[in-house]
Amino acid sequence: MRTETMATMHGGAGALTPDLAGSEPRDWLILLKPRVVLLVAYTGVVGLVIAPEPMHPVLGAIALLAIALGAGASGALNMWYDRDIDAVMRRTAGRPVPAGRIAPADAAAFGLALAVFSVVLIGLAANWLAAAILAFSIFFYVVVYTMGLKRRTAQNIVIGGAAGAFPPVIGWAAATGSVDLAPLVLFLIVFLWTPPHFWSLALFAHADYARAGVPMLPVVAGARATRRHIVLYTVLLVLSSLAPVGFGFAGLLYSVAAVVLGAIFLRHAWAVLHDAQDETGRSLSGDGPARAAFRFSITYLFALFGALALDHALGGMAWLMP
Amino acid sequence: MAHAVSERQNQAMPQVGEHDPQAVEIVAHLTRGQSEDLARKRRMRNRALGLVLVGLVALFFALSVSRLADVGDPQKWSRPGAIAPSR
Repeated sequence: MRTETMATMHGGAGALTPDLAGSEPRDWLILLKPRVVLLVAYTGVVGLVIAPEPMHPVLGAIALLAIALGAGASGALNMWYDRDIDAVMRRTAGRPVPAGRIAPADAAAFGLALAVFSVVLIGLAANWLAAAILAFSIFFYVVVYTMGLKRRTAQNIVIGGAAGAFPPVIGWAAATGSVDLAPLVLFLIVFLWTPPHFWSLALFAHADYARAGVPMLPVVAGARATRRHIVLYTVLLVLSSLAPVGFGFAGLLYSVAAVVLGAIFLRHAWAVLHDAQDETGRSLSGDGPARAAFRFSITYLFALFGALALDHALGGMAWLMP
Repeated sequence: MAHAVSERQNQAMPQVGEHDPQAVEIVAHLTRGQSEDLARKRRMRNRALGLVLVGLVALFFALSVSRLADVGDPQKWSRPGAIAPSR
């Protein structure tokens, strides 16, 4: 930023564009991808809440803050590395780095510092197992997904989705100091949720991805194949969402929520598959079903994990059972 | 002769590589509106940084106090006198 700003300033009066006049605190917040952070922190809370060992509330809150900061650090490092493709995508061109409000080097330093801080913080507040998993999840998102997979394979978000699935495991590990079957099932649910969520987005934003050269499934395999994959992964997701009931760590409330939410998600996926389309699979309806599926996928994860936490708080609603 | 001319040119040219805060002429090149906008953004950043620093103090205070409260009765530790057992 400093170099670019100086260079522009030497151009004389009027050469300084508003975007290069410096960043606002809001820009640094945007760098953390706050909406993603919210979802990550939320799944982390559920992992922590359903753990069998209670955690000191202040230490639990600090552990969650660390998970959120770790996710934010990953987002900042992602925006630093992807600044070139962000600049050519309409959806991301206004981000602080491609828009020139934050210098790439500053974004990288901010992300790295925040990553180290978040790992040390959760280590001090909870334990070093949780810290190690958080560190690995940041590494996985930044190095494996962002630098390795995203620009190379259409399976980028299938494998990379693992990075976003770690928070419930971290929350559980923070409370118990160990990793059990329950957090791994939650990991699986988030892992299988990621493809239909991102492929729905990629269906209506495929032109952006194609322009940036990102090999998302609709760009590489076409819209028709993507629609089939969305249905396949939604079926797998709905089946995996019933696993907590099968393994006995969720009760009636969660069961009802999983079935109802799963049925709605399947209906959305079916609508995406049967959307009015041309011979290549391109939507003739402005990708209305894909947009609706994308929106609902967020509601789905919030509601499903919320039901699990509530179910746990109410003791599985065993008092309702005959 | 050529060397003397080159030296005079060097004196007249701004040294871009060296950063001397006293020699920065940014303000002279900015319009009044741009200058005010820059100052406003700098003030906002400073305030945000101040809040972050205060937050860090509160965070580590809360962390220390909670950690001490969470270790339980030292008499019940497996090795009295040792550091608090980790989870």
